[in-house]
Amino acid sequence: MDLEKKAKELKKIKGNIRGEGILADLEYARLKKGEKGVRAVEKKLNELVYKIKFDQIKSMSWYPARIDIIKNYILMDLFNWTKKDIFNMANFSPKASFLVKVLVKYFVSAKKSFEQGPKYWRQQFDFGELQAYEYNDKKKRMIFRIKEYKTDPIMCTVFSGYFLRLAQFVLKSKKVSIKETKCVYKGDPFCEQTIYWE
Amino acid sequence: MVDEKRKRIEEDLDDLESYIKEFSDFLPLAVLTVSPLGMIISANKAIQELTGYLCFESVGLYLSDLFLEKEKIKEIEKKIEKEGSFLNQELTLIGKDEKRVPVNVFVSSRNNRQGEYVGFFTALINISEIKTLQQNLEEKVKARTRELEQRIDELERFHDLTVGRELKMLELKKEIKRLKNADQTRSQKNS
Repeated sequence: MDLEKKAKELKKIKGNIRGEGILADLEYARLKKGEKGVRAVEKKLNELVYKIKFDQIKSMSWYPARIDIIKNYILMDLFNWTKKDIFNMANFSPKASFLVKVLVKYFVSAKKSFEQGPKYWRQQFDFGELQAYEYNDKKKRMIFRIKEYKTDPIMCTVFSGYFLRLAQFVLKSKKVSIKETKCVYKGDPFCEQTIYWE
Repeated sequence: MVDEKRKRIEEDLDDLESYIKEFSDFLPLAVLTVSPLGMIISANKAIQELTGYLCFESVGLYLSDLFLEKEKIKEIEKKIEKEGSFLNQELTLIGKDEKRVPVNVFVSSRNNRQGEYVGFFTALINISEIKTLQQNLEEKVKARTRELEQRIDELERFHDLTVGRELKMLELKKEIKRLKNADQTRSQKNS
């Protein structure tokens, strides 16, 4: 992986993400690779012109989304992580999220949580849009569409892991799965994540 | 102006988050936030010492997964949703290593601004030491009771023995008196 090239590519991304998105992922990296591993990611990030100190990241402050994205590639590069590892990290992320603890008030039912999805997105990102497209109790599926968010394909893996965990939090089923059913990087006008349960 | 306000709100939120995190990590008792489905949404550091699960490992588990009395937990969940009351129940926690820990469980329901039920808080207090002390005390009481019963038994036997002897003495004295009287009467007749 040519990280420098990737970092240059990502420079064009203008949007921001809450600090807690980055912090929750770092918590997973810390669990798997220890403090030393996290420091190695920080060092690499700073070598790639993204000047940031992890200790100073604040949960509710905004940070360039490109930092969050390149961090995934650095993790893959440093620790030979695959997309599966990134998926697992994203799936872990809501467990360490402060916002999820606050937003648990919306977890009244799966349907209500689904409807609150767009609001939740706006609390995490200052760009793009999440559309709660379909909730079907009979077919046991819900569909989210991510619009105006074309940053990097790795984020499809991240969203799959993240949305799956949120669904696992609100669905009364131990068998919950997710599939990316449309992808902006494969020619579709937006990305679509479909969650199934039994 | 708007940006300044927004920045200040964000800073306040950050401070609030730090405060909540520091405070919950400081608490010596395990506190869990549970969703209406009975799933653990957050846990403080104390859960680690109590169960062996890291905070993040316990998040995503069902509360009933952590207890031996699974049906009892389901009953509590139903009751707390209906009544919203505060409960205190003694239950058995199952640790990551299957170790069983007796705990007192406190439950308090949570409602959102619309008054809808959004789950509950649970606090767990390890009562292993109290239980051991209680057990030791009970054993001591039992041993003392046994000891006392033995003493009472001994005293009763002693009592029976001494009282029996007294009665025998009285009888003998009476007999001696009777014999003496008889002897005196006989002597008087002879003289």
